[in-house]
Formats: sequence, C-alpha cells, structure tokens
Amino acid sequence: MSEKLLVKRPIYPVIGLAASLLILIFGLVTAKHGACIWFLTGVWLLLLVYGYWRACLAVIPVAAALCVVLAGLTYAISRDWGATAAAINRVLAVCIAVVPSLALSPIYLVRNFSTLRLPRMLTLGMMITLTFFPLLRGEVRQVREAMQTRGAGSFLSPQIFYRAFLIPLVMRLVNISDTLALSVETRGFSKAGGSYTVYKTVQVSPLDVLFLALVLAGGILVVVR
Amino acid sequence: MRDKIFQPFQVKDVVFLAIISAVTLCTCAVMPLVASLQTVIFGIAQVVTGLQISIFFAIGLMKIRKVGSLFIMALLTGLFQLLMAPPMFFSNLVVGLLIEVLVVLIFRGYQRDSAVFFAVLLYNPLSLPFNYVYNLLFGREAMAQVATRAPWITVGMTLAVVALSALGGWIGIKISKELKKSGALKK
Repeated sequence: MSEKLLVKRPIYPVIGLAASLLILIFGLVTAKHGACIWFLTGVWLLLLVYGYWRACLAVIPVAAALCVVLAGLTYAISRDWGATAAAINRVLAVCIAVVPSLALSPIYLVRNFSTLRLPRMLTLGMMITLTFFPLLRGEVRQVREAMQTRGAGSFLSPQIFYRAFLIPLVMRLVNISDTLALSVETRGFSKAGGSYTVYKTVQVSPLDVLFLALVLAGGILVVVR
Repeated sequence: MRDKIFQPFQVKDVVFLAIISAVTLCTCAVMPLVASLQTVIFGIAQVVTGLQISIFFAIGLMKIRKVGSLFIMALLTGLFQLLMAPPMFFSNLVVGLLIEVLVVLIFRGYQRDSAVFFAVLLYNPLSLPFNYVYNLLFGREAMAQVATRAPWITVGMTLAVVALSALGGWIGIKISKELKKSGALKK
C-alpha cells in the first residue's frame, strides 16, 4: 500500500469498509444489468469528489489490464457480448471497491477500531500485520546480503534457499516477535479489560453517512430497475 | 496433570501470529498475477499460494500450540483480503473454524505435531469446495464452470494443492524443530 495514495481526510473507516462491501455486492449481483456500469461510474466519480483521486487514478491501469484479460477470456469461451460485459462489470466492481481501503492509513483504521472498543487483541494483530510489510522487506534484504557476504551460492537452489535464507529469516521473525511483544507490554498494553484511551479518536461526519447513503441508493436503483 | 484444551492467548502469542500472518500475506502476493486464470484453470490461486501458507502456518502452530491459533492467522490474513476478494475472507473464516473444531475433536489441541500437520494439510484444499459453492451461489458462472469443464484438470489441481500443502506443512514443521533444537524457538 503506497503512502502516496492516502487521503488527508478519509471517509470514516467502518463506513468506508461498509461502502466497499456494498459496491462489491451490488456490482457482482447486478453485473448482468445494463445499468451496473452507470452505478460503478457514479461511485467512481463520487470517490473523486471525496478526494480519492489518486487511488481512483491508480486503479485505472489495473482495471484496464484485468478487463482486457478477463473479458477476452470470457468472450473467447462464450462468444457472448452480454457475458463479456458482465465480466467487465465484475472487474470494475472489485477495482472500485478497493479504492476506499487503498487510500486509508492503517493507523486510522486501528484508531477507529480502538474507538469502537473492538477486542484489543484484534486491533493489535491488525496493526502489526498492516505495518509489518516494510519491515519485512528490510529483513529479506539483510538476509540476502548476508547470503552474498558468505558466498552462500545461488538463491534458486532449494537446499541453499532453505538453509541460508528460510531458516535465518524465520529466526529473525522469531526475534522480532519477542522484541515487539516485550515492547508492547512495556508500553502498558495488556489484554486485561481495563479502561484505555485512544490518542486520536476518529469521529463520523454527516458527509461520511451521505457517502454510504448515496452508494446504497445507487445500488438499490440498479436492482429495482 | 493434563493440559487444558483451551488456553488463553498472551500478548506475545498474538504478536507472533500477526507477524506470521503478515509474512504469509507477503508471500501470497503472487496470487493477483494468476487471478485472471481462475476462470481457465481450476484452483490455480490455491496452487500458487499453498506452499507458502502451509510453511508459515505450520511454523505459527508449532510455536503457539493453542486452540484458536489457526483461526487467528486465518482471520488476520482474511481481514486484509476482505476488500479485494470477499470470498477469500469468508473462506478463511469458515475453513479456519472448521479445522479448529476438527483438531479439538480428533487431537484435543495442537500439542502433537500430527495435529499441526493435519490442520495445515487441510487448510488450503478445503477452500476449493468452499469457493466452488460461493461462486455457484453468487452467480459467478465462469468461476464455477471451470471445475466441471475439464474434470481431469480439476482432479489434478486438487491433488497438486494437497501435495503442496503436505510439503509445506512438512517443511514448516522441519524448520520449527531445527529452531527449537537450536533454542531459537521457545514456547
């Protein structure tokens, strides 16, 4: 997830998740309707208005590539333009549904969950999972550099990959995990159900509710048409 | 004294499981590359991710031998997939829960290595029938038809998923045992 795609003031995370699910469900269910493409275009434009233009533009090449491949395959198999259009709608639904989460900072989501008093173990697990990716890239690089320094041999050999890469990497993961757990506990995090405060609470605004209402209304319109 | 089947999770357990989930997700990043082939080759997504998931889930279960560990890993990997592929999220949850129940009923927990191997062996293959049913229910005919169009490919790919899961489980258990022997992997 690139930081360039993040928006300054994202939609309230839980509402964003709900909207994504709605887009996906309506998009998949109504993929065969002619009006589905208008619903998806409307949602895409709405996301642009809400400031998600970077994420909206970022999904275009991915959507285009997937549309070409999937629609091409569907047409090659079925020779049916209706089925091909439905395949395109499904790809677009998935790509547009991803936009709110692409532009959402993990910390914002976790703060939202903490504000809602979701189980602390869940928020901790989510936070670690979401923020671990850049760290992992660094660890992999270090292990590979160590391999090169020792002249361990080719990365493509299964035996060398196992002995010189996989085992050191898992060892590093275990060490990081121990240090992180200690660090979390030292900072007062416990699974005991005591009261706690959230550094920055995330509040829902009328604009967020309006966004969800518009997506829902659009979806229902397509279904009843 | 016999160990309790259900043991509470400590902070360090959740941290380790979250890290394993993150690594599993990273190694599954190849899946979008074959996503478009899912309507052509049955189970292609499970084939390209089966080995990695099995290796890392086996390591997670070998260290945190508590009932619920697999479900936590499935939940954390699934939450990330929720917005990109909802079937995978629901598949993770249902399959994770089902395997936990089976492990409790058959092995009474993950204390034995065979329980870890059993859980990891089933995790990926069980998502195949789940995805098939999901695609049928949600009108994704192309995704469902791929299973019946060429039955021998379906059987071959299913066997490949099982074989890769078994290999991954074996490698994961082997790595864990080596690290335990060296003292790096403590309970």
